[in-house]
Amino acid sequence: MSAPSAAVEMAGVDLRLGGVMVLRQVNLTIAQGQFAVLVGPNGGGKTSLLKLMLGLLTPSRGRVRVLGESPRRARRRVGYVPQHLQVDPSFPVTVLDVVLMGRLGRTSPWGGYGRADRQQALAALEHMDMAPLAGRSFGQLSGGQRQRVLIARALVSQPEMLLLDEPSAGMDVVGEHELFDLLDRLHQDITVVLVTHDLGFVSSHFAEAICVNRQVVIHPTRDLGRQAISDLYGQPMRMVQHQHHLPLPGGEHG
Amino acid sequence: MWQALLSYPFLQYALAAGLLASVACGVVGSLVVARRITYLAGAVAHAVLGGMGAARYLQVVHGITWLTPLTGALAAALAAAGVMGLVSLKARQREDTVIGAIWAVGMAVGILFIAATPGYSADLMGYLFGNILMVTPGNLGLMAGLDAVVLLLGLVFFKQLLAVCFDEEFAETRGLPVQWLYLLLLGLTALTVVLLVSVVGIVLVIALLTLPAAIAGHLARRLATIMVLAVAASMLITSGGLALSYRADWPAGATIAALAGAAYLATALGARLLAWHRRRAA
Repeated sequence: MSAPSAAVEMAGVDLRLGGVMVLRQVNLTIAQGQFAVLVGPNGGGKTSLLKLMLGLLTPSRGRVRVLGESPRRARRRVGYVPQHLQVDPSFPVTVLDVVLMGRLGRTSPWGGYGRADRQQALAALEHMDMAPLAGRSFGQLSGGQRQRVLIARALVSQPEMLLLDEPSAGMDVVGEHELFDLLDRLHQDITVVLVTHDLGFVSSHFAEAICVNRQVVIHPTRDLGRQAISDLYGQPMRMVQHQHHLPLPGGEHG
Repeated sequence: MWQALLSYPFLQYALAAGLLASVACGVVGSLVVARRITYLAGAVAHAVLGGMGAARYLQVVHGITWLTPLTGALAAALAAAGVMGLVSLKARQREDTVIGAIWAVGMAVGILFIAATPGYSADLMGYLFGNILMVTPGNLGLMAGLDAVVLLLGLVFFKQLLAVCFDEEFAETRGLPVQWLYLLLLGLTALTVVLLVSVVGIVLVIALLTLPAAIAGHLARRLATIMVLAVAASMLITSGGLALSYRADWPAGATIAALAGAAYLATALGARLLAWHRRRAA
């Protein structure tokens, strides 16, 4: 059995999709309560790593444990925020309808949603400052607003861990900043795993980043050229130093 | 018109068939349009000809009287939906090809059976373009049964179907059996196609499956509301089309489909004009 403290444990994980090796020999531990950030180039396997944690993909080799269980079993304890750009904007749902979907698996499987589901959904929207837009069409919202709704949908199932895929896509710097503050507050209570290719977002807030490019390596971020980047982005930032490499306990990265 | 309706049972049956088909058509059509599987529904509809032709052949040549064309249609529609479901679950990149194959091969099989059936080639037009005036009380019973099944499953699993159509991956992370729910959606589509074939025929099924839902989509923004409005729109269109075809002595199926097209065009234009007007006022 895995130690209760690990939110995610991957050991010797290979992932092949359609004959292509997407991830190779991944060893990774994310502690419970950690705020972990996955960075790397597009196509490097960040989203696939997230989907392994959700049990949406099955590893070709190796072992994945989430919250001490198999990913499929752990699903109901995990909240997932996919990229909002994948959602069809003309689909006929309101903001509240979308958030209610997060109650599936926790509410009765028959018929409609109950009063308690509705209250929880509204509370989650309130938490995201989106309650006034509950009756609005989801497709009419801006990118940042949609993202907030999808986060509310993930939170309404009261997850122990939150997985977010590129939540800052299509947001401006201010929106990104607000989003981070929000995730930081959530992280007081639950584990947060964030996928992004936005290094600025990472460098300003994290001491280390999980770098994903076929292989997975943990790198520290460091105050280098802080002033220069700060001038560029208008807020304090840190650079990710890829040449520094901390071996994981029990890990075997090359 | 009202007098004719009161004095001719075949008109009453036709009206009832239109109203019954409208219920399933509004509910399932809204899901088909939202999930964008119109072409898949088209393939199922055309595969139905194979089932109708085969059933008619067995009825006439081998004397299997219980095997009516409607029963054959039901079997073919469910089989086609099953194949489509397996293909999209196991080999999604081939989905488009298989839609085309089922569409054409289903029709070809139907034509071959019809050609082999002595003396009944006149049926072909009825299968393709509808023979609502030939609806019998027995047909109505089967249609009501199909309606009940579609309504029951659609209502009981509404929130799961909505979630799977909107965001299948997220639905899976909530522990929903997404593959079964997709097969359920295809099965409901197959049942609805069979209901509609009796009203407007194989070729025109797509008109009634998609246009009332598309009309409703201009008027509402929640799937449940769209379903209710689509049922109402479909009832108005089938009844209005029937009246029009009786008055003008036009083929009923084609009149209904054309009326659905006209209503869609009018709603789309109206929505455009309204949006333009609002922009100018703002």
